[in-house]
Amino acid sequence: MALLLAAVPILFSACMKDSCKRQQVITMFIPVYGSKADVRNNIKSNAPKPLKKPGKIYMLGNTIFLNEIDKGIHVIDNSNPSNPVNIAFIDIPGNLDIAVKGNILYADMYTDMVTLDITNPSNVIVKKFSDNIFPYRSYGNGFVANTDQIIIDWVRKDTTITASCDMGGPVMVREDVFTLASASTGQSNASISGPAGVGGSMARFTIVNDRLYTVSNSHLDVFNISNAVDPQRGNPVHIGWNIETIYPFKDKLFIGSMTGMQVYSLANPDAPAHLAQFQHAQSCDPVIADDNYAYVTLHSGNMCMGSLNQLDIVKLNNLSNPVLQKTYQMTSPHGLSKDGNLLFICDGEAGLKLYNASDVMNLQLLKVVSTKTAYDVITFNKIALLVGDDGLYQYDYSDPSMIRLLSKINISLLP
Amino acid sequence: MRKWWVIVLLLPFASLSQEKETKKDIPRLNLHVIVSGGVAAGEKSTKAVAQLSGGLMFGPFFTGAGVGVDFYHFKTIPVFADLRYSFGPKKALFVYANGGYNFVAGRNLEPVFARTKDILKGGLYLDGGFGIQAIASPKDRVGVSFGFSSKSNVHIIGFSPCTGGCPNEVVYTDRFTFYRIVSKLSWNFGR
Repeated sequence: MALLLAAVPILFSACMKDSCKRQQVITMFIPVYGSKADVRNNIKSNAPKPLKKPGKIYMLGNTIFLNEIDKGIHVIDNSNPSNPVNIAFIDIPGNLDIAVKGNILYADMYTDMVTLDITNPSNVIVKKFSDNIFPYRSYGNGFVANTDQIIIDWVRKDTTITASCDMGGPVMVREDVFTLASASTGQSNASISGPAGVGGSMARFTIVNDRLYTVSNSHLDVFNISNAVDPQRGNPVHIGWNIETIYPFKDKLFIGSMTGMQVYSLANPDAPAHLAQFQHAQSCDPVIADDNYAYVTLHSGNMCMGSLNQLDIVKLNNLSNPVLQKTYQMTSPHGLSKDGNLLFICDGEAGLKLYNASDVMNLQLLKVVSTKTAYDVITFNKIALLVGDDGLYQYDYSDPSMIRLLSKINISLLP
Repeated sequence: MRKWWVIVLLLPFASLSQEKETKKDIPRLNLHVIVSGGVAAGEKSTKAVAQLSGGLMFGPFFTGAGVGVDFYHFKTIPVFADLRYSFGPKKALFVYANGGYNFVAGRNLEPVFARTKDILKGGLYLDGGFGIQAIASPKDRVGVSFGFSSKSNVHIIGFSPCTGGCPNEVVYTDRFTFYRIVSKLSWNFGR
């Protein structure tokens, strides 16, 4: 009887077939392509557009050039810092970084670079396109862009994909669209309107005398801009991996990466030479420097894959052997700037922090300006321009104890 | 004429006999408890199952509720409604149907590196079939049944595609339905 009890089900079990369906919610970003000719013809001072995702910022005289991530550059007349006026928008799809020499502006455009004459910001003129300068520019996640055209926009589509469980992992994504997997904890996909290009951090372009230096994920590029309208590319230099930022100081370049800060000599401006490296734990790494110290911020999250949130102060008296002087714990420090003994740090959700850095071993916090996720800051003429998640701020810090908000250009919430 | 008093004397006995026959024909509501154990065989494996049902028997119908343990693939505890119908000579044959929900029991999943989420949930439980039963004692019956069963589970898996953490965690959901042939030996207490 027991044998019958066991045998019958086993005999018929071969007819059974279990069912398993795998579901995954993903956000797809479908690229909208435009022809290269049309896109390039449209790189000019077009009608101003509202701020949506501000990135890097650059000042030239009374004009602010503010990057709109992956879209182009806002041109803002800042003759009156209390009343800045958004006067034009230069459409440059794929733009993440800018650098300016005199009246010439250099901007990346996905894998290419465009040279613009900005003598008249209301009527910028394209001078040159340099092709395939940044071949490493990609969006990741398996997406492969059609390089015969240029991505001018993204169409977001949330969808649930169902597949067999036999595939052994998450649902495969497509090469022709950019996908983000569903998120439970951490960053929500709901606020993402499009994929930002890989490497969207603080400055990756910088100019020293007649040379434009750019960093990609692994290379340092040198452009001779003696003739500003005709940049001539030199040989790229491999400088390691996971490169994040570049900062010039005197005859040196400070290059931040996920694993540390590197110092390059510009004794030969066409062949930067490695001098020293300051290593730290894996993190993101904007850096500035003064005569004696380098100031390095590390923050976790995003592409940085680290867990540290701090300010490192590195002594530079022996550039072949930079030494960590002190570490200050922060919330989520990003861009920073220094004016004399005043050190400005964008500390994420903690806002903009102003320190008296006359004694680096004992930074004195002078003021905290509450903003929504401070990202980057530059200072000039006792005015701090701050890029945050909700807009562009200008603060008068002529009296550091009484920082005064001069103006704010809000982020538009409209699609 | 002399026989009329015999008829009068016998009348009460006649009515008494009829009364006994009527009580026998009316089915009674009885409490029954059914304990069963057996195997469930499917695509993946053959595993043990066990059940305990309690309910009311009214004539050939049994209705009740039960709880069990099911070791097929994931260890689960089905909670179900139990219906049976007995028929045939001496009600030796029966058909049954169970329907309910199977809950996940205990630790089913081993830790997997890089998984940020590993959640197992229960689902629908169904079982139906037929059997034969015989009298085991004055009040009990023993039976054997064969049936077709299905149980569903949901497995939610999350992992971080980057070492050290990424802002977006990859999460996917596997929805299982297991189909099995089940055979059980049961003891029915109460009659």
